[in-house]
Amino acid sequence: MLSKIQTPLQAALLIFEGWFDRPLGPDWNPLRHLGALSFFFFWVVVVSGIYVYIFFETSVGSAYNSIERMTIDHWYISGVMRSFHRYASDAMVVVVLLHMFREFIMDRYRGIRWFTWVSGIPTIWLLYASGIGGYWLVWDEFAQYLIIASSEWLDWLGIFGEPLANNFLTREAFTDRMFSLLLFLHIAIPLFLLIASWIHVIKISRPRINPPKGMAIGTISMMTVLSLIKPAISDAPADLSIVPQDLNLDWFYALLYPLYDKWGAGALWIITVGVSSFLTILPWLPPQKINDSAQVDNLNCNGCSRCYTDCPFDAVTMQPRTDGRPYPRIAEVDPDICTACGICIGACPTATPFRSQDMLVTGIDLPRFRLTELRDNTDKSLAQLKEKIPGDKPRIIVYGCDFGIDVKQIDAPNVVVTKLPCIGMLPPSFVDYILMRDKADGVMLTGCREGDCFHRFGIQWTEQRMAGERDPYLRKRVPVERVHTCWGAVTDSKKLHEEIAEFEASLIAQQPLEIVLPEKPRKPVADRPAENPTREAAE
Amino acid sequence: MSRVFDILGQGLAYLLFALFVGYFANSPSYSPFEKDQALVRLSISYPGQRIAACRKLSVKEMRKKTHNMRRAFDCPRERHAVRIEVLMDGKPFYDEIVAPSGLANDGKSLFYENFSVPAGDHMLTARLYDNGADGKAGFSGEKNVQLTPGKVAIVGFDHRDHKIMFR
Repeated sequence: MLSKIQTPLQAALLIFEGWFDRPLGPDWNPLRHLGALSFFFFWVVVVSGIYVYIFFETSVGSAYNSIERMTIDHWYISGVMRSFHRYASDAMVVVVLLHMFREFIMDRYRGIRWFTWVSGIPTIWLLYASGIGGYWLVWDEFAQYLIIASSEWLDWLGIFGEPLANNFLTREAFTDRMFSLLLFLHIAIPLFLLIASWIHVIKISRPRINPPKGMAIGTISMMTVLSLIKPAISDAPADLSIVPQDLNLDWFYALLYPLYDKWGAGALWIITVGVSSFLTILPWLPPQKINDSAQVDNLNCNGCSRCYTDCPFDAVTMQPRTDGRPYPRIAEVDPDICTACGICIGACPTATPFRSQDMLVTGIDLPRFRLTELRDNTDKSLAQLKEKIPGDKPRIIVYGCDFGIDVKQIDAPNVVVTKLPCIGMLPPSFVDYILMRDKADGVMLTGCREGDCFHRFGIQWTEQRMAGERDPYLRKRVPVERVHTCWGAVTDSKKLHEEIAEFEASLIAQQPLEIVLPEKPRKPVADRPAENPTREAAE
Repeated sequence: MSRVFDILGQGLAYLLFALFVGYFANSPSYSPFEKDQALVRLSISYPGQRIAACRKLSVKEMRKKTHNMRRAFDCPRERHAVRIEVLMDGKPFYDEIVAPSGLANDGKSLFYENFSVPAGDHMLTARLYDNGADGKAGFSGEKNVQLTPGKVAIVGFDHRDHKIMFR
């Protein structure tokens, strides 16, 4: 049911993102950094808020005038900082909501991601409470409207001894003591927001909480220009003896208030709590089907910790060894948070197709898609390629994942396809194996769009491994010009065909490979020496 | 040349975002209230009278209690619900009975309502019944208020002078 909504939205989003990719590139595309931008705007709000607080007078009678002084008399710095405070808060709402919608549309909220999704919901409540609480302090007509409506909305719960709204009946009823409490709330709630944001990312390995430097500079520049051209201003001062009219609403924070005016407090509680509850249970409507988690083969794991380093969800931990083998540690997979992406297998030094056993046994493997199956699939695909004939198009094998560019649409006699859960599952030795045994002329690695890997680090680790920057490295004997990468979404079929054509042309222009390793017969499983020999036995 | 287009595209992307944020940060304007109307806000928190008066305990009854629980009087906590009736220009437009707050029904009855009324001169009358809904009005008050458009009139209870107040 939900997938029927997600699929067209996903296609639209990918096209929209593609437009941003052209001028900004994947690194600076804000739609790929919405979470990091949320943190960035939070810090802008904090810094500008501290500055504004220095000049802010914390009493009912003088708060408004102190803000007016900042805005008018010191427009060039205090006014700009005030505008930063407002616009960064607004921008934070925009990027947080976009972030939520994007994760939903891209189906990145279920399975092990449920915790991050669910913990994001109170974060949104706290964000709104922080922003609305900030508007109260300006004590203009908009503040008056917000604070009375907010109090009446809370009073509907009937949990307060006296209606909160009684504090704002008259000017005399609204005391400086109450105003100080509001100020305290505006400091305390953002602190809770920070804690909630920390909890939100706590289960993510290497969360991106800072945008790229260029994007940060661009964003600050944009906000500076906006603050100078259209500075944040106040409405008329609050007057509790009248009802404010013609309000300049901040629609990012006050969107629900007109609904309150129209439908009342009860309806608004039903909407807000209903939507929050629905979002909370969304990861289980229906739950994501995840293949069996990765499993460690005790006898083949030497505790090198590469899988631990590369796991994008911190599902692998290194534990003290108890099986008597001569390595201090052993990898352990937490099945509850493993997505079965296979990136750990791509990192495992034992995961090499050169091994002579018929049945590859690696230090860590996926029970539902073992490395041996990937090697078999690779061999089957390569077998479809015709023998190399001079003048023919170069033979290419394309590896594609389940979430990125759609490789199934490739239909050419010289190009074969092998699929795997994530491109990060492919050990660099496979490229070595294919090229150095002259099984193909080129290897093309595909996956999701850059910076947008479904399994977070599949693209990044693959690129680093191929470039010799990350262990396990692609061996130096492998000519990297015969390896091509193509990152794109399911909607980027045109790009895939263009890149294949470009790769073919580049392969045609290259000299034949000088080193070609002979093919070796494999040993059937039964002929294997003592299964997983210990180091002593091997010596 | 493509670099120039990239830079222009980047500028356009930031511009669009700035326009979006800058515009909706305080536009379009919103009127929560019709311009020819005024507001009457009823806000009264008042405890109804106790349902039963305190009763002096007999010596026998007191002896049944432990030392620390002995008191001369037994005072039931429950209170009556409070009824408030508001009339404008002699016509009733609010009449509600509100139960006491608190788990033991011993708290105040809380009234808070907003009424949008046509601007102009109005005679407001309020009556508060605190001794059971059918009892005689415990308090009543009346005032002629001049409500200009957008003006707020408050009907409350002055706990110091113990009377219904109009502001």
